[in-house]
Amino acid sequence: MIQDFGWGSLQFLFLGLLWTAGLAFITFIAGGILGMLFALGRTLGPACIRIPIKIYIELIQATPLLIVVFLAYYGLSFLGLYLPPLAAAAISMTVYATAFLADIWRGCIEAVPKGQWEAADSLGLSGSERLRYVILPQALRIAVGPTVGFMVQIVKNTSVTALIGFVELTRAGTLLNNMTFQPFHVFMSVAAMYFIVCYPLSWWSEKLKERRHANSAAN
Amino acid sequence: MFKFSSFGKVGALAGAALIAGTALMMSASANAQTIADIEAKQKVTIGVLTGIPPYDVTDSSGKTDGFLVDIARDIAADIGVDLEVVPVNNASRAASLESGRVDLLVAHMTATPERAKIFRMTNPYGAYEMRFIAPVGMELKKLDDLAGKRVSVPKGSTQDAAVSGYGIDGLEVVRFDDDALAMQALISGQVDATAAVAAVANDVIAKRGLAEKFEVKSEVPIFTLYWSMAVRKDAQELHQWLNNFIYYEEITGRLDELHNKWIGSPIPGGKLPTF
Amino acid sequence: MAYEMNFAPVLARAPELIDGAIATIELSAKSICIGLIIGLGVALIRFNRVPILKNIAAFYVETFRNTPLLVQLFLLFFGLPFLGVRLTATESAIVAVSLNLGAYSAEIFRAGLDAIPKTQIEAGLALGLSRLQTMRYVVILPALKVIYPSLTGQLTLTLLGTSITSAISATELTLAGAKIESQTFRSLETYIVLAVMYIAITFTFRAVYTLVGKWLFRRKVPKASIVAATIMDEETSQ
Repeated sequence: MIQDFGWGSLQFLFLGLLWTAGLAFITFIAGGILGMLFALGRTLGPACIRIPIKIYIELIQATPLLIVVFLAYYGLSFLGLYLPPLAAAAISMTVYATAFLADIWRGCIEAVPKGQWEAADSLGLSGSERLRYVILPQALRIAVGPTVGFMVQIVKNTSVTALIGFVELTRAGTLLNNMTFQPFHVFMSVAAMYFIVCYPLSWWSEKLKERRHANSAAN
Repeated sequence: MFKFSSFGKVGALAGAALIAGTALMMSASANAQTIADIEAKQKVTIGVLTGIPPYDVTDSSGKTDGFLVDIARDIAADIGVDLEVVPVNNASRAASLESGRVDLLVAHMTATPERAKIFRMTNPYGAYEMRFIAPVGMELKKLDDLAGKRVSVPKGSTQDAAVSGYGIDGLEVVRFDDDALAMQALISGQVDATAAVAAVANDVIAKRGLAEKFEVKSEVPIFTLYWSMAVRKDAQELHQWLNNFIYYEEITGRLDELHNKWIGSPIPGGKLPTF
Repeated sequence: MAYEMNFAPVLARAPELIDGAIATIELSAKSICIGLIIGLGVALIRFNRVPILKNIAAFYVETFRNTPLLVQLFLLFFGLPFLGVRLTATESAIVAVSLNLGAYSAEIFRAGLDAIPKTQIEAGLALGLSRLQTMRYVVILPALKVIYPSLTGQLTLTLLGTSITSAISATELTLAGAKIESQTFRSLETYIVLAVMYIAITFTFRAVYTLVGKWLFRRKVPKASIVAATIMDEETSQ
C-alpha cells in the first residue's frame, strides 16, 4: 500500500530513532569497556599484548565502516552463528568503536604528564593504585571532551547498518520512502532527527574541550 | 611495574561475558528440520520479504503485513503452531535461512538453478510479470530501444541477471540495494527505465499519481516468473509438506483470493507450474 | 554446515576491482580538493568573523557534522530532482563528500588559525619579514604543522567514507565488490578482498601524507592520525 507522508510517518521514523539510540548506547558501552581494556593494554602491557592491539587498531582504522559491518554480518553468520541484524550491527559497531576509543584513551593516558607517574611511584602506590587514584582520573578528565565528540560519530555511523537491513532511523527512512516515494520529505525528516540528537552532543563536546583548555591554561 | 592481577581479572571477566553471550546466541537458534520439530517448539519462524508494496505494508510500529504474511499465517495455522515473522530483504534472506534464523523463506525467491544448489525450492506459490517501466513518451517496444540507456535494478535480483545478460550495446545497468530504491531512481529521473514487477509498478504509478509520467511498457516482455518458498537442503519433510500446502491453497482458490486482496487481481499466468 | 572459503571467483574479477579502486581514488581526490578549498574558505570567514556570512558558515558546518553522509547522499540523489536539480550518482557523491570534508576541515583549519598568537605575526614583521614571508613562515606553515595529524586523519576518513556512496550506485570500489558478490554468491570472500584493498590504499596514502609532511616541515614529522582528527586536540595528538 502506498501512503502519503504524514504524522504516522513521523511516528514510524521516531521508532527508528529509538533503535538508533539503542544501538549507539550498546556500542558505546561495549566499545567503551573493550576500548578501555585495549587502551590500558596498549600503554601498560608487555609487547605481546601491545603489538596485536596496535595492529588491530591500525587495521580497523584503515577499513571503511561499511566493510567492517558487512564482514561481521556475512562472516559470522556463515561461521554458523545465529546473527540477526541487531547483533551483527552491534558487534561490528563495537569492533569499530573499540579501535577508535582505545586510540583516543591511549592518547589521553599518555597526555598525563610523566611527572605524575613518578610522583605516584615515589609515594609508594602500587601499580593499580597509581592507575586508579592518580593517572586514570586525570586521563579521564582529558578524555571527556573527545569521547563525547566520538559519541556523535557513533550515532551518525549507525546509519551504515541500514545497509544490512537493521531497522534504525536511516533504514526506517528508506522503508518509509518505499511506501510514500517522497524522498525529500522523508530524508529531510530523517536528517532533522539525527541533528536533534547529535547537535546537543557536539555542543557539549565543544564546551568540555573549551573548559579543559581554560583549566589547563589556568594551571 | 606492570601488575597482572587487576588487568587479568577484568580480562577474564570480559572473556567470560563474551563466551556466555555467544553461547546464548547460539542456543537461541533451533534448527527445525521436520514438522515434528516445529510442532515441538510450538512455533514456526518464517522469513518474509518486506519493502515491496503492494505485496506488503509496514505500519508505524514496524509490524509488517501483506500477501506473504497472510500465506505465512496460513502455514502456521495449518501446522497448528504460533507464527514468528522475520522481515528480510534481498540481501539478508539467504543468510537468514542458512544460519538457522528462520525455518523457511516466503520471500519471493525465483527458483533458479543457482539457488537450487543451496536450498530446496518448493513449487511456486505466486507469479509475477517483469516488465520495463519508463517515461510515457519514451519509445520502448523492443529490447534494442534500450541501447545507450540507463536501467536500474535491485542488485543481485533476477532482473539484474536478465538485463545484464541481454548484451545490448551501451546499456548501463545501475544497481541499488532493493526494488524500491531502483524505482525511486526512475521517479527521480536518475535512470531512463527500471525493470520491476508489473503489479508493484502499477501500484506505485497509481497511488503517487504518476500515470501521466510513467507507464509499464508491456510490449517488451522480460519474463513471467514464479516465486517459490525455500527451506534448507536437509529439510525434506518440510519441503514436501509445503508443496502439499501450496497445491491445496491453489486448488481451493485461496492463493488467488489472497493475491486479489493485496494486488487487486488474480495471479497472472494461470495455473502455477510444478516441478 | 561447513562453509569453505573460495577466493578464486572473486580474484578472477580483479580487473573490475582495480577499476573500482581507481574510481575510488579519483572520487576521493576530487572531493578532497574541493572540500579543502571550501573548508579553508569557511575557516577564514569564521576566523575573521565576517558578519552574516559567519552565521551561514556556522549553520553549514553544524548541519553537515551532525547528519550522516548516507542521508545526505539520499537527499541529493533522490530528493534534489524534485526541486529541479538532477545530479548523477558520481556528482552527488562528490558534492556530499566535499561538503562533509568542508565542514570538518573548516573546524580543523580554524583550530590551526587560532593556534597562532598575534604576537608571532608582530614579531615576524618586527624582524623585517615582508607580509608575505610572515604569512608563509610564521602563520601558515606552523599552523599547518599543528593541525597536520588531524587534517590527514580527516582525509583518510574521507577516503574510507566514499564506500558509502555505493548505496546510490556511485562508481567506486565497494560498488564493484557488491556486483561481484551478487553474481558469485561469495559474500565473505568479496568483503575480505575489499577490506584488504582499502587497507592497502589507506596505507599508501598515509605514506604519501608523511612524505609531504616531511617536505613541508623539513623537521619533526607529525604522523597522520585519524584519532587526532576525531579529537582535534593538539595536546593529545602526536
